[in-house]
Amino acid sequence: MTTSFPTRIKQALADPQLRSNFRGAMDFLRNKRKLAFSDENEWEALKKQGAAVRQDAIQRLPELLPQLEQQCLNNGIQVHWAEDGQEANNIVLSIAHQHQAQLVIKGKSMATEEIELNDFLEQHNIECIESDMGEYIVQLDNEKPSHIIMPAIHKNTAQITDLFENKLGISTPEGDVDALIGVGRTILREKFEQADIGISGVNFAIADTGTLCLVENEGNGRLSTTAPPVHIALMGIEKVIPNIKALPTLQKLLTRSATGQHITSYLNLISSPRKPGELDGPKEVHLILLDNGRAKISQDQQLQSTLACIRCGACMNHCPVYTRIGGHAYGSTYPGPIGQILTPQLKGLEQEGELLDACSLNGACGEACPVEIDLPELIRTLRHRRQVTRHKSWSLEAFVWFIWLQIHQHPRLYQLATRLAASFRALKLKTPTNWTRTRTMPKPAKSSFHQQMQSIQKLKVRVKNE
Amino acid sequence: MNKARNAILARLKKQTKPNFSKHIQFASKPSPHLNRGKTSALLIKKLEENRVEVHCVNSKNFEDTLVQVALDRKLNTWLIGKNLSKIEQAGTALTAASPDISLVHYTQDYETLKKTLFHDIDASVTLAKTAIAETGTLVLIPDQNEPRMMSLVPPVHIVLLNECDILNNFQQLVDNPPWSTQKMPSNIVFISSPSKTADIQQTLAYGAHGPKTLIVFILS
Repeated sequence: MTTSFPTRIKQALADPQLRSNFRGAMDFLRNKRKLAFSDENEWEALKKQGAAVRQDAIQRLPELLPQLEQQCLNNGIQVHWAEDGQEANNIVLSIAHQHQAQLVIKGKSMATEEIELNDFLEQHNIECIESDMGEYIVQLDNEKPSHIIMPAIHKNTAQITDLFENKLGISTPEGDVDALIGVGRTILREKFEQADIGISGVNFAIADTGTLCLVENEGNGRLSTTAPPVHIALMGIEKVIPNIKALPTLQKLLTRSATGQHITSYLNLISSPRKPGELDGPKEVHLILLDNGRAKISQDQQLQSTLACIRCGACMNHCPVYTRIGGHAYGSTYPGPIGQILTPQLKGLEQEGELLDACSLNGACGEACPVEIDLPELIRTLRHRRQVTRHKSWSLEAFVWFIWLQIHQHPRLYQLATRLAASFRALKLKTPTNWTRTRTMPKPAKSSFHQQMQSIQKLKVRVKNE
Repeated sequence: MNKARNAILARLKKQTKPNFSKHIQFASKPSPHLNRGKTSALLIKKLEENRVEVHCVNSKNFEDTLVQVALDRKLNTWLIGKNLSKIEQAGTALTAASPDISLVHYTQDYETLKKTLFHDIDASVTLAKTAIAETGTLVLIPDQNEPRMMSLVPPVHIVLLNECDILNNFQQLVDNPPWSTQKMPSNIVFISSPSKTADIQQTLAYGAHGPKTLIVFILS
């Protein structure tokens, strides 16, 4: 991103088409989710279970990950560990080279977005095609996803019709979504037939059976993991769960929170490559366990719950800031509230801490989170840490807060200060422009609240006496 | 590679002591004890809500109903697995019904069958291991007799389900799975609707990448 975060926000706010696309989409998703969780008691119970499962899994990562690894190996899945994106990319590349791969077909995966795998493979002359319809549209327009569940949510039908016409030379009737999907289906089916490698993410990995769970509606995830001779799955190390008993709860929470569906069209459990005698499925399955900053987060008691996230997108759907500025303005792989806490932790508070500014602490994300991540609290914690590291020494802001503290700790000083403010209310003070540019600077009242209360009391006493 | 593994695990082990690691109970929502009729009624309702065509049949009228579906929809080239007597019978009935109908048996490697699979098949028939009424979900366990692609590539997918195999909810299934947890099947697929997407302006469209039509025969 070359432009700054505030500039991108301004640009997004000035784009009425973008704003109406997001407003429409967010209202739609929120309503669907609300209907899916209409039973309040069930929602509370599921949420408690979901939070407990995720928290337990994170605290047991040192035991669950080796267990997952061992079970996968027993099942014939090859397991790789990657400390960061570069290592993960190189693992994928070396597998691709072993198979002289030229074409990779991809199922939807935010982890691959995080490590910018597509760009990396393209640099090594390996074509990488996204097969999720939304991802395909976004890739066609050289963009990044603007939402973790619905990547092309920032575009409307007319814009996609134009895009297909311009980039593919295929025109479809105005407003005909079925025709557009038909175009995507035809083009991508050919790629599924030809692809040398299929790459996918993982929604949940079951440790005690070595099983990869993929949740989807389109069938592209199943095709990406079944048609090509090699399947590579990339997962953040936090995605592991102990056993399949935890799956129903997490599945319910994930799909209802994400799209308001009680279940998606497909839930795909992959436990091994094609076995002798079987006629299809990949001949090789590789699982890459990606750290990329996650283990460090797990060490931090205050921030650890960041890893509980199941990537449903409910926090962004409910965020008033995200709804107005859209996903691209954040300039990070993960936008919205989860992106605001995850990105600064993965990439460093210094570089990405600015993301934390785009929050009004209204709390909507925390209420929507299906695994009870206290997002507002995490945003506050990170803001605090950022402030502390930024202003180790004296600063104007620190000075102002010091004065504020003194005034509020000492009642006499407080009274004096409010009286002074009232007396000098006519004075035009130089005010911080960042604040007053979009707001009116409040003017102190003629008399302080205390003074007003006192005069009311006096009046009451007088009335009583008369 | 071991270097990365050891470094990651070492970092993870530095976690401050777990403040809780408790046994989590997954008591599924105490669903009212449904009898078989009610369970299948719920399954049918949920499937139909998700645009799945449902036919309730018995062993007598199953073949006739299937033939009718084939003729109505002009489904001529059928992909069939092997070693399933019910499906073999159905195949025989189909070819007997019309000279236009032919069968392709999935008995070769995917690589050999690929072209036919992607371009010539009109419909496939597979068996469901079980089904979940609560969400209207069919559970398939592809194997050497019914490979994974059968339920994925053909534009029309037909599933046979024995009524006695229907379960109330997902939790019931994982508490008593119909597979060996010691040796998991290569692939288990939960199917709840035809392939679909709402990626373009939240407009639902069917037949994104997988089957456009999903038809279930519930055998009593």
